[in-house]
Amino acid sequence: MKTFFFTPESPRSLALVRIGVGLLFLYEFGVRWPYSVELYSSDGLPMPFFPGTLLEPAALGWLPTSALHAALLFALLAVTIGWYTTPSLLIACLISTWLGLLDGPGTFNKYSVIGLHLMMLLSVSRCGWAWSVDALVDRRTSCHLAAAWPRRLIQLFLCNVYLGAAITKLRMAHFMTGDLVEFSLLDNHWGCTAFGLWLFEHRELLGPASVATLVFEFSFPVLVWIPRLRWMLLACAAAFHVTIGMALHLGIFSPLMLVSLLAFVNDSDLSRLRILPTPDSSTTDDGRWRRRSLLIYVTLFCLWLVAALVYRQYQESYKGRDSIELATADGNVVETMLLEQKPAYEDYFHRFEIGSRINGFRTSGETQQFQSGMTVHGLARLADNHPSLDLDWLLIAADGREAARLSKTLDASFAYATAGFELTEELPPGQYRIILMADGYEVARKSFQLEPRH
Amino acid sequence: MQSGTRQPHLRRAAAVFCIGLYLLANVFFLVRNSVGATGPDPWAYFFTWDMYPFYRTTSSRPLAFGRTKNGTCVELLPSPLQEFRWGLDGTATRTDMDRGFRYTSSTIRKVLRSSKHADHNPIVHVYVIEEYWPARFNLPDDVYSRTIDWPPRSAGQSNPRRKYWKVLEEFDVEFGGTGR
Repeated sequence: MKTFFFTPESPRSLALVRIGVGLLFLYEFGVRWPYSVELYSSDGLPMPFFPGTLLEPAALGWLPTSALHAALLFALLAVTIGWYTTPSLLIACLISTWLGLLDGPGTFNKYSVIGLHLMMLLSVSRCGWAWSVDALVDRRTSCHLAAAWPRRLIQLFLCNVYLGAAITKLRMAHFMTGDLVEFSLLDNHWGCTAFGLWLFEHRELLGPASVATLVFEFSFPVLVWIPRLRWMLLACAAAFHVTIGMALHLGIFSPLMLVSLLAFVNDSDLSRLRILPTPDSSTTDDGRWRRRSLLIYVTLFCLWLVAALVYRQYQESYKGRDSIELATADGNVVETMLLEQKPAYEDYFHRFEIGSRINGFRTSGETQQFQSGMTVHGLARLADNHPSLDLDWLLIAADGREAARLSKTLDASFAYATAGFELTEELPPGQYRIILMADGYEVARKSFQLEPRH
Repeated sequence: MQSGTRQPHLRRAAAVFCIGLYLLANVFFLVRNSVGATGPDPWAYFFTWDMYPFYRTTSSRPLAFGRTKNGTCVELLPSPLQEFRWGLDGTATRTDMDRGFRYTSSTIRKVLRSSKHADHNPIVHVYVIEEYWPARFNLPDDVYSRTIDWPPRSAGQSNPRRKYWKVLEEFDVEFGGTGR
């Protein structure tokens, strides 16, 4: 244990994590800078994540909020280039928590918390000792070794993230069926990416992909510690996060996880990469540059703050937040909305499929051509808001007559409905249909060809 | 400090304390999540990794309209105060992203206070409406027509994009623009 946590090592891999985290959160809060007043100030629309608790920070006026936001951007820039790294990380951690907690829907989420853990753990590390302004200015620290424990804690933290996510998924009834992924791909806020739509068109992959996700999330925290398997696990993790990043619009989540995985890269791995510069280990520092560096840091910080506030003052003078003009709405449209018309019956259904086999919550095998003696299974996936429904499953023969009917009542708490028809020898070959009716209304139909047994 | 190998005892003790505390917190909340013990504890959010805790089979967003004294309808949500947009197509406001409609009322109150209508033609009644639709209607037309082939009325056709509405709340507005 002592060796695990306290072996001296180069801080270069954590320096890479530092640069990545700094850049990502610089982007995250940079794109929110124009909306700072709306998101985080009492003059805008703050939406505290934990209202009425100790974790609800005070929303300040637009000027101090803008000052905080500007200070955060400066601190994140300083983190990226490794300039007064530890204080900059602490400032960034503190202000991003403050601002994030003031905006639940738009800023604060799980990846924000992952970022806060990383910033906090980096702040107790020596990540500013490599590839940083600090290392250039204070050459006493350059290329020296530091205890491994901050990097070990980041590694353990990542294992905990994967394990926690796996346990959550395992406890969900519809994760293994692929339903969770399928509906996430369709989400109107974070779904419907080009790759996500391709996956949706190949829904047969979603079940196996869900199982593979669980296998990966359970195995990573165990196997990544085996030296021979480490690179394989890291490659799997990278592929996993790239896939998530392509399939879902989750902000900086995937890049952040990729960056944090760099904590598993050893210094010996980095040494093999000759494209990375080797820190200068000369010790010619005489202390003058350290004093100048502090002066330059403080001066630039003040200049940045003033520039940001002048810009914000200029921007706010055109806003007029206290006298907004509301758009006129069409009264007829509003009246239609107030009628609260119930959804069409078919809109209570999400998916309808037929097949010669049912595997869990999917059909498989033959879907178009069946032979006498086989069973044709119908499966319907319903939306969660459906009422209790009287379902009728009809098997319609080629000549239009009703060959069979199955009726059952589906309680509102059920998400799936299934039925199976045995295709006996008495049924003549031809084009058949399975029709599903809900409360007497046709909601779904599928055709198939029945052929005589060969 | 020249090297990590010669740390003073105090520094080492502090490090051991930090390591222990951090690991303990992580293990505690991991076990808590494993046994399904979730309570109204905001601190748990910082240590619980329950990504993908839910999914929705329908999509929805809140809308709000105000009826003015002379009978005109005005849009309260989305409002001009909401400039920040998110989502894949960059159109979702924060109240759209707030799945539980936790911030709808406070946003409407703020919009009412900031509205010019308060002076000459005040808003007297507010309707808060949930607009919802099946998640499959989020598909682009071409993907929809290729993949959704079972509805009897629209098989093989482009996405019908039907929408439905539910009144979440309605209330009268007092003079000065706040909910009664």
